[in-house]
Amino acid sequence: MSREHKEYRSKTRIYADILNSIMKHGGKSGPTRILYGANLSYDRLMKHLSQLIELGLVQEEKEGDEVVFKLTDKGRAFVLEFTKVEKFAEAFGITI
Amino acid sequence: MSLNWGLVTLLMEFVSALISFIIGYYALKGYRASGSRGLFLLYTAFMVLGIGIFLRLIALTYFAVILGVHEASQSQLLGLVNDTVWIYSVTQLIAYSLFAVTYILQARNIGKQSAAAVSVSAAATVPFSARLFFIPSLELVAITLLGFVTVYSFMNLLLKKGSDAALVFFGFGLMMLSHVFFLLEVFRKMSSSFLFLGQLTQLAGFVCLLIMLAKVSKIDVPRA
Repeated sequence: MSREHKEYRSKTRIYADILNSIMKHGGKSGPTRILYGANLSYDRLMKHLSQLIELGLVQEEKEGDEVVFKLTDKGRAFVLEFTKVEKFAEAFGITI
Repeated sequence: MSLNWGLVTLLMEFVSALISFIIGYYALKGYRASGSRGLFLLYTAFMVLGIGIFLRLIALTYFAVILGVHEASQSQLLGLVNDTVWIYSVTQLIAYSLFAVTYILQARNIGKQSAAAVSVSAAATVPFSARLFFIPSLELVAITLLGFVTVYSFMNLLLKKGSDAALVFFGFGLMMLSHVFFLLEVFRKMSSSFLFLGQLTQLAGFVCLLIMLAKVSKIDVPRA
């Protein structure tokens, strides 16, 4: 997926994209699915995920041999709030 | 009868100011959540607009009450009202300028297609701008600024095609129309019908924005 125009994404935007990607996979997802959804490299994704864990928005769990990342209630609340803000901004033509 | 009409006008102003504060507050919440500069400008614009309307409301209420009791002090109070109307107009222009700046800054961040749309919108406001040099009226400046904002919000509507964007377009469009009515009121001093129409359309514009806000606030994220 090549983009002619490379858009700058804020840290909050990247967090929202990661959390939305997890949400789309039922609130629990492995890193491969998340990185495709959030359009990030593996290293950058892991860096952001560790920050999200620190903030209490995501929880790391082991399922057999696999590591999965699960949305916490706080993470879910963040996604909801961000979606509302995004819709509000979009209505005015503002990209966040 | 005329007192009731005055009260209705004051009430409309009050509701408009209140809605402006509510939208401003929501934009502030959005700014805190996202750090978006556009939302911060939107917050400042709506707050300034709300404060302006509120100042005029306070002055007009004071004017109406005092005028009702002491008709002899009319001339002194007219000075107060003139000052307030001037302050109100300036705050409005600051707010509309901030809306325009928000959209200009936004245009820098978006793709070529949208940038072209913005250029079209800017070109569409040229006839208004040209007139400004010849008619130095604050209402005309307000119409020009809101004209730019309305055209941009229309372009946004064409790109997004959503009801929220439509409500914002109608909101700004009606606010611009209200200034057209206020301008017509200046030319027809004997009739206050344009003033009423202006305040009615201004309120309708704010109500459109409030409906959009209510729609956006109702969004729910499905639980897993």
